Amino acid sequence: MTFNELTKRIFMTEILKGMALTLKTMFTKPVTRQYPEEKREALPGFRGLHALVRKSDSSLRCVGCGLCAAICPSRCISIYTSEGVDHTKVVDRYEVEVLKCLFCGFCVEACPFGAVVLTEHFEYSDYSREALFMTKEKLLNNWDKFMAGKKGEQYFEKYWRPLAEDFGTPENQPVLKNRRAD
Amino acid sequence: MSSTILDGPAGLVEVEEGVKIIPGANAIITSLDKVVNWSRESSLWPMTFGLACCAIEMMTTGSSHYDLDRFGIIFRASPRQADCLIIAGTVTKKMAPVVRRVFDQMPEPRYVIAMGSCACSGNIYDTYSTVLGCDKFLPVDVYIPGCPPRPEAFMDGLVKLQEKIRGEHMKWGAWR
Amino acid sequence: MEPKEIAERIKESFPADVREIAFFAGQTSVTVGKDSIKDILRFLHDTPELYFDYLADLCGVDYLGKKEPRFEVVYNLYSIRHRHFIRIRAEVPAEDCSIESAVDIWAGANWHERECFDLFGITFKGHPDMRRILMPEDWEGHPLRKDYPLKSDLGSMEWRGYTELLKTVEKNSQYEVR
Repeated sequence: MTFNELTKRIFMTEILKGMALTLKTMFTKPVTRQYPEEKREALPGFRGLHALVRKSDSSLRCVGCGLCAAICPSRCISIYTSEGVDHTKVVDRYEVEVLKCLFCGFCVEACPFGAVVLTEHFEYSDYSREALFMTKEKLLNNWDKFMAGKKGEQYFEKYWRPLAEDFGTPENQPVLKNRRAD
Repeated sequence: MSSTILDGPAGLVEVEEGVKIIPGANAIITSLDKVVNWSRESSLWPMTFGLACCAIEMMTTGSSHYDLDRFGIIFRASPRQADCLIIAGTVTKKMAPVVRRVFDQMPEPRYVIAMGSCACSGNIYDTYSTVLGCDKFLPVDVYIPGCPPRPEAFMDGLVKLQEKIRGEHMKWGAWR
Repeated sequence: MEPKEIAERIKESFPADVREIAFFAGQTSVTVGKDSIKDILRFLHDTPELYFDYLADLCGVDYLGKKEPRFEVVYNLYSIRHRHFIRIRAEVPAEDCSIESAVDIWAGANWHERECFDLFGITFKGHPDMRRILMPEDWEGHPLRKDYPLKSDLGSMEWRGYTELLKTVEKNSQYEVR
């Protein structure tokens, strides 16, 4: 063996040349995000868990028209209403089966009163189907937990403005009389 | 239990009606529980069962940005060596017997995670060829909603499974 | 060649078979009867000016109630050399639900015809391997027909393999440790 070949064999020059990139990455900072400790904020507009909007006087904005249920592609929204005092429509039950939802956001777009939103919360896996069956109370709670304050106020300004005034409806229609956006 | 030398002041003690334990055994059992549960939750080896788009999210979670290896998770291709089955994607009627066969081949203790909306409940695919949710023929432990669930949501589901394993009691040995 | 010219050529060569020529959204389609479909396709494939060497798609349509005959087999043809498209629609009645296979002209028609048979029930005479491709082999019924149930719960028409699976799961649930 010549001297050259001997040095190459002892000092593994060719192997090191080939492995240069690999060995260099051993000493660079890893890109891993350490999940439970280090979480990333969801980007604005992320479609996560559902919530029903609460007006400033703490009541539901939803009137029970059923447009969200009609347009939902996987039919996961069920609405049960009844007649209340003064011939108004009262929403008895508003149920979303979250395990069936595909988070398209059609319900938010379809609602003319801006009563359903998709919050930015997405870490809510659970052990049974019942725990993930959202009823009206749970959905209102979601609003308080995740969209309270500025987030809730700015939601419709930023993403959709499906409030009925945008459709150019006349001001004195009875359906809108007591339900102006607040 | 017939009277043995264990009955007596240093022997069996009646805790509830009809239940007798050896005093002091609890300390051993709970520590053994802790050790066994810790070892199971920290080395959860899933069987890759990516059926549809959620498989891509599972792969992303396994890659370096949201590493799964630091949870002790190594994806095993054979059900005989796996302890949990992650159903990621729509289950069709043609595939259902196959999934069940794979689940039956897994040795205990085994867990099932239904990842994504299709595996939990069929999603929008209410058609002639789809099974509406893999819990029609499998016992599911954790449901992860989302379409597809973000990698962080998937890892949150795995953390929930780890918490469930941590709370198990006496799931070792033959007396279960 | 312009699609209109191609349609006219077909009409000149096979005057008895061409039922209708339609133009819509820049696309031309020629509706023919199924009897001499093989000759029409071979003519389209072999003539030097037409030279349709690429079968882009072969699919079926079910017009239950909307028009007679009930089924149609649609051939989407493209010529790589001349860069023109044409669509040939062959009418297939429900009573004699079969048509000649195009496999000897374009080998790629093999799986398309198997899919058409699987989902519509249209048999292709002369096909080397006529069996189901998407549904399980022992599935009964042809799912894409308009009179096939839509939802997941097929009731008594359920696939035997799936009902057996549910029964086995029921039986084995006594051995589950939870």
